[in-house]
Amino acid sequence: MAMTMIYIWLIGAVVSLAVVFLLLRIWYSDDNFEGANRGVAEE
Amino acid sequence: MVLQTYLYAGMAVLFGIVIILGYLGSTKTNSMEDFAIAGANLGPYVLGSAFAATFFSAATFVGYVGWSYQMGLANIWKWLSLLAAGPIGLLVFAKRVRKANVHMRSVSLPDWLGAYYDSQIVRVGVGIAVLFNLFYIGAQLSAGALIFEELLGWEYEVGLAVITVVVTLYVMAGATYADVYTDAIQGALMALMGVVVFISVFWVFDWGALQTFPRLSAELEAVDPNLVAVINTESLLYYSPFAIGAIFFMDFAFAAQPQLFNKILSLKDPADLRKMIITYVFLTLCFILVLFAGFYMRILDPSLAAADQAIFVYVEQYFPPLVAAFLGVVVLAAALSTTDGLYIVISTAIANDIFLKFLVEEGYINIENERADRISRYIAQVSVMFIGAIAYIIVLNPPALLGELVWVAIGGIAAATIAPVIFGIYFPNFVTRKGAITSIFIGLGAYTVLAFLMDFQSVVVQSTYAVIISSSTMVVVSAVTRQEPGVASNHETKRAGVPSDD
Repeated sequence: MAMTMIYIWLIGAVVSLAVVFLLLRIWYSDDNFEGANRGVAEE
Repeated sequence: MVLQTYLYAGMAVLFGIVIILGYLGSTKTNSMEDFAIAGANLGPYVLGSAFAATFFSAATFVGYVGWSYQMGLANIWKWLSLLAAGPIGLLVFAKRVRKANVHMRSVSLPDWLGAYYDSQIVRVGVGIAVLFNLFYIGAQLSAGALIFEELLGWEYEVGLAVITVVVTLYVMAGATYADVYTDAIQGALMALMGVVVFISVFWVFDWGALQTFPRLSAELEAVDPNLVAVINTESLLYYSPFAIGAIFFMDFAFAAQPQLFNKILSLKDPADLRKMIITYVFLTLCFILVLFAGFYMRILDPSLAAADQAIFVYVEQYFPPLVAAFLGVVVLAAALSTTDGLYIVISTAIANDIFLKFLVEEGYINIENERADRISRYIAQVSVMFIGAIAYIIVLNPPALLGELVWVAIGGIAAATIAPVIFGIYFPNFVTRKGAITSIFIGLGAYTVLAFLMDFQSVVVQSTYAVIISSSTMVVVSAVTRQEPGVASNHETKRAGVPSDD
């Protein structure tokens, strides 16, 4: 019982990192930036 | 005695570096844009580290360790929230904010929102909201003063005066160029210290690798069974599932805080956001391990006079003097790095958002642009002095828990700004200027009532209620009003709806 929070910590850390890197991959892949780069080039 | 010698030497080196970087910064600071966001000209690794150093302040090292000490393993919820909710918040906000700014070229959150909603009232309202950061600055200065008090034996007031003067002079001279570079170095040092403090469990307790965490839990339980509870009903922050959810919600919202927002605007190439975020997440993972010091200290000495002492007593008693002095310098650097960023946010709000973009552009003050930019820099520097003085007064009597004071500030700003930012960037065709204005002022009003007139157990829960109120206001008012011309006109998504505009 005393260890519950430690298990939550370990599992939570793995899940958190997985979600963050998954979102990073989906939303921040290079081809998602054409619009922004075009904006910079215009200036 | 040895510790004090090392600490004085370490501080001399730190202040030497700070003065040199401040000087280099001042030679590069020629315009308001330079002062506020270093001319949008910085690389991703520097900014990622600076972002982390600003996100994690002396409040992490001192205040959040104090939370661990006081509330036990339930503070692991905060650890997870910092690892998950903060980065996800950044992912949600960063790209669209940075993209929109390619066209708007704003230098701060009030400026960005003012431009986005094409409204001076929005700009001034958010400019007022960021003044809540005075509490945040106060908390950082107080943490800096605690280092002098705990490790060097100075009077608290003397330490507070010294750190206030140092930070104030530093910001006046160097502005963001120095801010970002010192932050980047401090980010790396703080990450290193987080790891060192975490692994110290292996030699301080010597329980053997496999037994370390079972023993840690058992020892905490022996001190007080609440310290290992998943929901610690006796704690200020983790007393119910809703209160725990509020922690995650507010860390998510924290990613759009103005001092962090500036870092996103400073990025040279928006395509570098990915590298910036990976740098930030990696350093975060290292930093937040420092929270464990509070658990260790609670086992070693459950009777400290104040929870915020935990980190200092731990390093002083259980580390070699050299390492303890190094940690003292890192915490001091952490206090400096976050504080200078906050100074810049407030002084930019006054000099740029209110003076330059409102009073001069609207013709209330009639001067040519070049002169106005020069005057705005003087205003920025003078306001820095006032900020230092007010923050000093706020923490002249140190608060019971530093972490709480930080959240008074974050809550106030989040209540005013989260709704207009997030609904703006995700629903550019739906939001209206009237919606943004009502949401900002109702959010500010609701937060002021909740924070200062009502008695909440958790500062984070009161902030969450205020954000819910301001978000509902934004949705309802935007739904019943028609979008005004000029609102969200620079938004990528919205532009994409217009056939072949470029």
